[in-house]
Amino acid sequence: MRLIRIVLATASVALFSLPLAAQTSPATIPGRTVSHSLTLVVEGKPTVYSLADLAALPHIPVAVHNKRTNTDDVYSGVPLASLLAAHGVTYTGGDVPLHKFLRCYIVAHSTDDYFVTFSSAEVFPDFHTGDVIVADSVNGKPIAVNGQLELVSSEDKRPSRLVYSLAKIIFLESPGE
Amino acid sequence: MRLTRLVLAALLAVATLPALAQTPTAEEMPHKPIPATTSLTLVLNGKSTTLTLAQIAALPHKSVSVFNAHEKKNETYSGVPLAALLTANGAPFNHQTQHDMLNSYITIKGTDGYTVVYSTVEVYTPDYHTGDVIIADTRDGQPITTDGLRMVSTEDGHPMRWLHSVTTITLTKAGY
Repeated sequence: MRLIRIVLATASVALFSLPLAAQTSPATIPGRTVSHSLTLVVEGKPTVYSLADLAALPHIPVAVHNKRTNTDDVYSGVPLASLLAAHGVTYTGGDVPLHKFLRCYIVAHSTDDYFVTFSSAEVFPDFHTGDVIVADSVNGKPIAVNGQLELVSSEDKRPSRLVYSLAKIIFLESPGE
Repeated sequence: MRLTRLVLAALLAVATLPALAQTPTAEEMPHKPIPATTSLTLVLNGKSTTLTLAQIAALPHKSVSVFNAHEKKNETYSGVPLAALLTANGAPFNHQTQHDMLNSYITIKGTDGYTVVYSTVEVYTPDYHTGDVIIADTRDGQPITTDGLRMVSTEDGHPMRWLHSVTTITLTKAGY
């Protein structure tokens, strides 16, 4: 029993110290820039999260099969819904009225101009099946070659919206039509 | 005097009830009857296509079973997969179009102008996303006469995007 505790404690220390290691020596593949922070823009107001800020927030695991690499990976990260909720974006009576929330979408950018869209509703797990997270570790290790931060969606069957080097997330309202 | 106070308190309580009822408590959004769909217009990559209900009825259908949290009952809808409708009318999602599709989103509008947004990935089922998103024209084996057409997404636990009387579907480039 004591041995299990020691093993768990060691594993916890190792896991928590990994993001720090990633900050000091981010390895990348050639041509890929590294994300050093996440900027979240809600109603035109930007908030910058450092890697340490994100590491300090509650994380959840998300398991996905990556068709690019043909691997089964378990990411850990901060639910995008939690980040949005902290800025008043929810479908349950936040600052954004429900009818407006349903007309909104999210654009997630990498450091190198790659961007993808999500609907606002689909990133809230109580609304839509699955989890969408801002991941900072994969398989228990820091995300190194993929630019430190990745956006991961559990219900996507292809990795098109697996955004490497995630740098910015913008919450926007559709103009209509 | 005390009775008067009690009556006034009761009246006040009753007066506040409608306000409470309007509080957006998720799926309990009231649905007022709106005109049923007479045709569906798809606006995709600069091309507009209008389909009649008969044309939609003639397309291959898929059935989905869902729990309607608003009505609090299980329902079976049959309709045309939205991905098939979009693909056949100028918006295929494949390796060649992937970049543009990922940079876009889809708006669904009802006959009352009410609009909701879906991402492109979440409606291109089953290739890109889990679940089913269909434009339904029957419910539990009967035509949905009140709506004509209704949007149904199996992955939405709340039916707030199951838009009634769908009339226009538009593919739009995202701002950024």
